[in-house]
Amino acid sequence: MIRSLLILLCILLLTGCVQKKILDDIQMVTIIGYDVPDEDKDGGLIKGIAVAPQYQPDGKVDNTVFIESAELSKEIRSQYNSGSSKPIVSGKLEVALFSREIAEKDGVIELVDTLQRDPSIGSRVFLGVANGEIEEMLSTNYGNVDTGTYFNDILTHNSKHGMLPQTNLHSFLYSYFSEGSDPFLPLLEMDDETVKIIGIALLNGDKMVGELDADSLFTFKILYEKFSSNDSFSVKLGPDKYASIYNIASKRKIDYKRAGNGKILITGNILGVIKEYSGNKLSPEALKEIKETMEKDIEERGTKMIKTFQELRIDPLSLGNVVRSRTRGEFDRDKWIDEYKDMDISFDMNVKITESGIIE
Amino acid sequence: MSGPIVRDQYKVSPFLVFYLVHSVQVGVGVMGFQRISSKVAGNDAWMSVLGAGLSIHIIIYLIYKILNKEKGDIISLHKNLFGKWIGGLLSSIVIVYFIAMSITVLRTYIEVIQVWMFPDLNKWLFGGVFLLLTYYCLSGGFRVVAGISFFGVVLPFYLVLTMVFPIFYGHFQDLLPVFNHSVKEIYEGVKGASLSYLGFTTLFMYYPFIKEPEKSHRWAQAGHLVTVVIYTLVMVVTIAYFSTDQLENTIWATLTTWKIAEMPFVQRFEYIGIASWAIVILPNLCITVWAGGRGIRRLLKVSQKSATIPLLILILIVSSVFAERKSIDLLNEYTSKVGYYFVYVYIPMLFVVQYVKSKVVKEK
Repeated sequence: MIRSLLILLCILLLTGCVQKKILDDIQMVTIIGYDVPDEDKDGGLIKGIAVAPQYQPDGKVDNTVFIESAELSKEIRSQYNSGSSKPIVSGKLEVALFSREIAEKDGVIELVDTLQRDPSIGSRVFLGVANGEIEEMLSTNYGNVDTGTYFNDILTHNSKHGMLPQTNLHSFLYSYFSEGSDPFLPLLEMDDETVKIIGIALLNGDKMVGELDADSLFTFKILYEKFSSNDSFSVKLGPDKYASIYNIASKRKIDYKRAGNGKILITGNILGVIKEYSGNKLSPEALKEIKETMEKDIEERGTKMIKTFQELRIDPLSLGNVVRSRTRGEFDRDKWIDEYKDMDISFDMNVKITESGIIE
Repeated sequence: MSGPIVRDQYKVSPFLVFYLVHSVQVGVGVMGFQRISSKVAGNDAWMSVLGAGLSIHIIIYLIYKILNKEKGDIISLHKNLFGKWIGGLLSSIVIVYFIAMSITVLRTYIEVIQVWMFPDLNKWLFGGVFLLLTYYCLSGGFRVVAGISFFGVVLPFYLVLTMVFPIFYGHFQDLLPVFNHSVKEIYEGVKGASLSYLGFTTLFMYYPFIKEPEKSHRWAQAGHLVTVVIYTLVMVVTIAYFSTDQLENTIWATLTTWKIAEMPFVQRFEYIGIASWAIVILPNLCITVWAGGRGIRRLLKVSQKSATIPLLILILIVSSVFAERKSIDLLNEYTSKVGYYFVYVYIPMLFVVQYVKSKVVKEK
């Protein structure tokens, strides 16, 4: 008797304790964009643009766009709710974009804070800076896909196989809080009916201070991390002579010598395959020429890039962490940056061409 | 010097002490112990965790030395060493400590559910249902508690594998340079890490329930060793995954590392992890409440049932009183402080007092 009563009690108590969230009855935001509102029209401090897909029974995807302005980004969410027929949840968020204006003037950390504070948002969410009108970028339909997934796919495959270094919410926070590293974010732009990655935005703390264009990403990635990709690097050998080298694997090594003002030597190693060659025949001499030109080319670009970083007083290559891991005692960011900006940092590139395709 | 007589049919095999020790240690502490020691010891915090673990091996050795001589539990030990009144007072302090531990565990777990999964979870209802389950286990006696702790270790053990995900994002150079912090800072970190190891002192209560208790010593050490290995690994992975300042802002570092996990069948792994954690929390509560109830029974000579039921109600009420993060943090801090002194000061002291007293008695 008592046992059956207890079972009954459990059945009554254990159901309906918490709010239910049934998939068909909610709006899942997959991408969110933040912009500075037009002063006279919208008011508020931040303009948030959220896109939630609606899957129709006939297989079509409708993207519902919500645009609101408010002081706090979570306040924006309650405003979205007032304009939506279903409650909005953020558990499926995949991309968060900031307009260039916000990234340059206000800094992004306040907005990133709500993302990291929310337990329902994963650490793999992509962050990015949008060049141009963010409202238009998110309001456009990119074919029969959910906008968030579309952006997510672009960023995922480009960082897995392409030239974009690994970025996500976690790595942004890691670099932001780290003493010896500065974050960077992918820079996106709308190009007619598609979205393109046009480079990366370089941040000092949480403010954008510079950018790298898409052509420099190959060099940046060699300097930044170990990778392999499907993208290729073109070498200009003469007026009409080009070769395209497909990178199989690259590694970086950093040597740090503490003597004097400190000296850093970055060595990059690439294993490459020739994909395209516009000359006549790939003789051993031609191969050697390609190899040497490529080495020189990347070295030049890399050295220039490092110079720019030093002038901007930023350390996206996280050289500071390398130095910190090899120095005893407290590591102070300001002191490091002072030292870093006149440090002798050299870059040495080794290219090894292993194959030249199936044609000699 | 002899403790309570426990009939053979209520005793458990010595090897079960492995699960009893390990399951009571791994509780709510492991969800976020990292930042406490990392605050002072920085990237050397893993040494603090390892150090705290190794020093507790010695404490467990002392506990066995004391109990093997006493052949009883802490209640009879206190009575024999300090007499009926002072001994009784000390025993009741120990009992309060066990109860405080169960309150901490329950409240912290409910907090985790509220923050991570269901903000509108009713803590009275959930606490009530969970304690009902605890009572159900306790009503089967100590043998059932030991069985539950076996499941509490084996079933959620797969969670160790989830530490693989953050390894892919690890910056292992963050562990360098080793010994970059002074001995004092590392020692402060030991203090912070000790909360996550507490709970093994319940040995003082269930020792008479072990068949051939002397033989269980190595099992207790082994159970603790597994805890040390897991904690040190988790700490190393955490240091590599987070930057130092980032870790300081992260309350539940272990749960936050689950946010990076990606599996085809589930978007947020935390939901599975935290739900599995209920199986880890259950033996924790069972053992501490059992120890508290057993203490009250021995002290006041009432039946275990009439001691346990008011105890569970008390735990429910007190744990529900703590409402905000700050007060829960304070609760954790005080339990850990008391536990620290209990383990590192009181137990060695007991050992010395018992040793001196046995010499004096012999001379007489």
